[in-house]
Amino acid sequence: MKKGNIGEKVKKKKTISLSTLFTLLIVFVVVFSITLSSVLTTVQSSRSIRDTAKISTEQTIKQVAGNLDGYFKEINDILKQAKEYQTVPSSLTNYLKAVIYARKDILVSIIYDENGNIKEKFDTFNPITPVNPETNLSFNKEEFAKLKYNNIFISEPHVQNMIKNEYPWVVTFAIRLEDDLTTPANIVTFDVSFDWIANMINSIGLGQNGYAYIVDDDFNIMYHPKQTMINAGIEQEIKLNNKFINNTLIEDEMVYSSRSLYNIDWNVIGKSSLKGIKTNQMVNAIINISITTILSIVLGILGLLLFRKFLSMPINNLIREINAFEKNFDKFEVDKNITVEEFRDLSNSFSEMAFNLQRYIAKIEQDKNVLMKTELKALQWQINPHFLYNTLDSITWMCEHGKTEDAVKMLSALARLFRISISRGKELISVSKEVEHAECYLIIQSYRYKKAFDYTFEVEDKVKNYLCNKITIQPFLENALIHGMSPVDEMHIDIKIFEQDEKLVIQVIDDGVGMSEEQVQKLLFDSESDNKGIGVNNVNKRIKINFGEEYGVKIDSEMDEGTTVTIYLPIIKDDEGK
Amino acid sequence: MKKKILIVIALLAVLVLAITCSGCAEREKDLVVFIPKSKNSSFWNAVKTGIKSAVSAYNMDILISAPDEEDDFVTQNVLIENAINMKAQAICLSAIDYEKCGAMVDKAIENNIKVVIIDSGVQSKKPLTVIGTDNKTAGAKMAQSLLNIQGEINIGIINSKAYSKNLQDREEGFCEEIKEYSRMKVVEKVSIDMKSSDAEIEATKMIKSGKVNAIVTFNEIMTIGVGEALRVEDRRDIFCVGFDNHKKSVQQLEEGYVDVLIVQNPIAMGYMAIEECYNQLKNISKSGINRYTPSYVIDRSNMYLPENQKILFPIIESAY
Repeated sequence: MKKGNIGEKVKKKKTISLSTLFTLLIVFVVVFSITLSSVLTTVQSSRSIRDTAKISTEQTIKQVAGNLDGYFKEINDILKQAKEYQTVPSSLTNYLKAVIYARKDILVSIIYDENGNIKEKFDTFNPITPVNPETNLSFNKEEFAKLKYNNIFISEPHVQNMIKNEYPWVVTFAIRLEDDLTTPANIVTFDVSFDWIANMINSIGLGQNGYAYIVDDDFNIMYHPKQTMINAGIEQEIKLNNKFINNTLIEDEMVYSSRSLYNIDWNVIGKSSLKGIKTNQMVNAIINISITTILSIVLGILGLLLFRKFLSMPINNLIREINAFEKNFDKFEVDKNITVEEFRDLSNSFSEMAFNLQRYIAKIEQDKNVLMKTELKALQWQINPHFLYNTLDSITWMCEHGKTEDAVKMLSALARLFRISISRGKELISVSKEVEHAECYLIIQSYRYKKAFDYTFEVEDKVKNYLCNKITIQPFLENALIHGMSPVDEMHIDIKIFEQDEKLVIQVIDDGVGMSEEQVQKLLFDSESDNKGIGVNNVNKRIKINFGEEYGVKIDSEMDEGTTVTIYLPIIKDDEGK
Repeated sequence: MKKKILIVIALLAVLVLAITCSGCAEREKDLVVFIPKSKNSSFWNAVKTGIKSAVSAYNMDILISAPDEEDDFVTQNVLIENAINMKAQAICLSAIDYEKCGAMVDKAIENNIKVVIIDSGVQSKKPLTVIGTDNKTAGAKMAQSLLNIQGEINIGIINSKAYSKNLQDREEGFCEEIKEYSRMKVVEKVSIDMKSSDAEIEATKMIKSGKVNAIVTFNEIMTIGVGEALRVEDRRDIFCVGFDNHKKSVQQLEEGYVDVLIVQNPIAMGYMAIEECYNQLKNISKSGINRYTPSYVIDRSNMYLPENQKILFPIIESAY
């Protein structure tokens, strides 16, 4: 498996996608929310603006109409009062004089006869030049003829052309006073200055492009703030129709509100524009969305940077350490410089694991060394020169003394012994072969020790085909012969092999002199053995290293009683063999 | 790491600043300076009415400054310079002198100020939009109105010393048209300072000389002077063609001393001039395309027709 490279690749990918995902998520959520709320707000507020515009236009026009109505009623009432005075001409004269004097807006008052001749005239500032009824714009022959008694006629706005050097716009109010048998009917008129009305209409504010104007019932313009522009043909006013009277409507992004006046056949129309509000709103919404998008991207980037610092960098560091460890675990040392709490725990666990791993590996190395050494030794002992010389000597002596039968038996045993020792290099041999090996040894030794001992083998049938380490039993037999023999008594050695608790158990039991605890310990753990034999220690180590700590050699000994060596081995059946 | 954060914060700050500034900038109203030829004529008051109406419609700020005399081009140049110094966005100008006001107008244009001409233009490097009466046509109409006179028509012309484009154009249009009619002849021509008293003096001279049976003059001030001369001399027989609808002139028309008045639409002029300033500032229209307002030939026979009432007597802001 490739170290380093793959790890690095994986590391980089992980960082980018996490952080970017995080940022994108934030940006997306924010932008979406703002867009949605902006759109909704825009829609709602433009709707409410329309409604507000409609209502406020309507209210303004209502108010204007009310003001105009009030004004016209005032003039009407003043004119109507004249009839109280008509019976006595001088009192009428005084009344009209007083009115002219008191009201600056009533410019002129005239009493006409039926034909339009001026009977009397009243004015304050400029003398009136009488003009002919035909050219007198204030005298409307047709309309005045139609006037019923005590009724008032109100004219269109027109220029008053009787005042010297002045040409004010006026509205003429005319009343026909009651007839009685003595006095001919009179028409009393007021020429009321239109300035007040015109200025009021001019000053009405209805938003940026809004204004009010006055039309009669046929929608002829009585007064329009852009009159001269309309006259010049530069602008035009849309012709409205009946559905607009006393109504507020929205048509083509314009709000129209109209109200009739009571005292005269005039209508006040207010007009205000909704154009540009929608665009304005949309522009605002777009600006909002843009600003928020930019800000949220900026914040997202900030968040990304923070995220990097506190999350992905520690992860990167950790991964880097793992990689370093992977490359060179022997010399690895953990960097203790980690700030984030969760990562510190992770890092500590990792460093502990690293440490344990190092130790474990070191132990394995060590064990391997030991194993190699012991196996080397065992290997060496397979052809134990010392034993060979002694045995050959014995055989020579036997041959020299004519004990050829014994010589043959010894030779044969020796041959078998060595053959099994070597076992063609195999480490595990069958129990029966190991038994044979032990038996050969005992046969040879029994010739040399001349009936100083005897032995029995008790081997369970089923274990005969199990496998075990070679040269396991022999060292203990050697030990028993060397250390256990008393000069006086005959020693008995029992070798038992059986299965117990799922282990293969080999017992070498002698009734020799026994050993002290100290000796037992020395035997088990001293790596050198006296007789240049393989050593008990070696056997124990080999077993433990190869099979685990739960197996191995146990020695129970009592002085003068004997020694029982129990060897625990795992059950290895033949098909598993190395 | 720290560097990155600093950069981000700096960007944020710049962004916020930019937004605030652009928001602020938008709310400022554009300033228009209106510089007519003088303060006091009813013609300019009517223009003012149109201007004020447009200024509130287009949401702009207006400053009106004018010389006292209609031939004081020196003061007018000073006023134009003031407008440049106060960094106005636009100037509506009716130039007293075609040549002598030209340099200052060029300077205004160089300073990125939109200049719109009302009625009387200047000799400028860049083309300017002129809003006003088609003066040459108006002059021609004046000539045609003389046809009412029987027989030989001996004309006396009274015009201004200062080189005002509108007055020059009217005279030119008049003189061009006269060539069509062999019985029309200009027998006398006088140039005066822009005072109605001067006009009155020269008109009186003309009347007394007996050489003329028609007197023609080209603006409100001169018309008032001529009309007054005719009234004082009580000469209803001399045909008088004048300009504009000052109350006095209308009175003189009514009384028979003045016979024809060419009436303009100054309210429309003022309104359209502001509209043009707005359009040029918003880059909706470009400088150089003239817009004409109509002119009307008013005499005693038609002066009180309802439609002419509105032209002859436009409603102007009053004391209320």
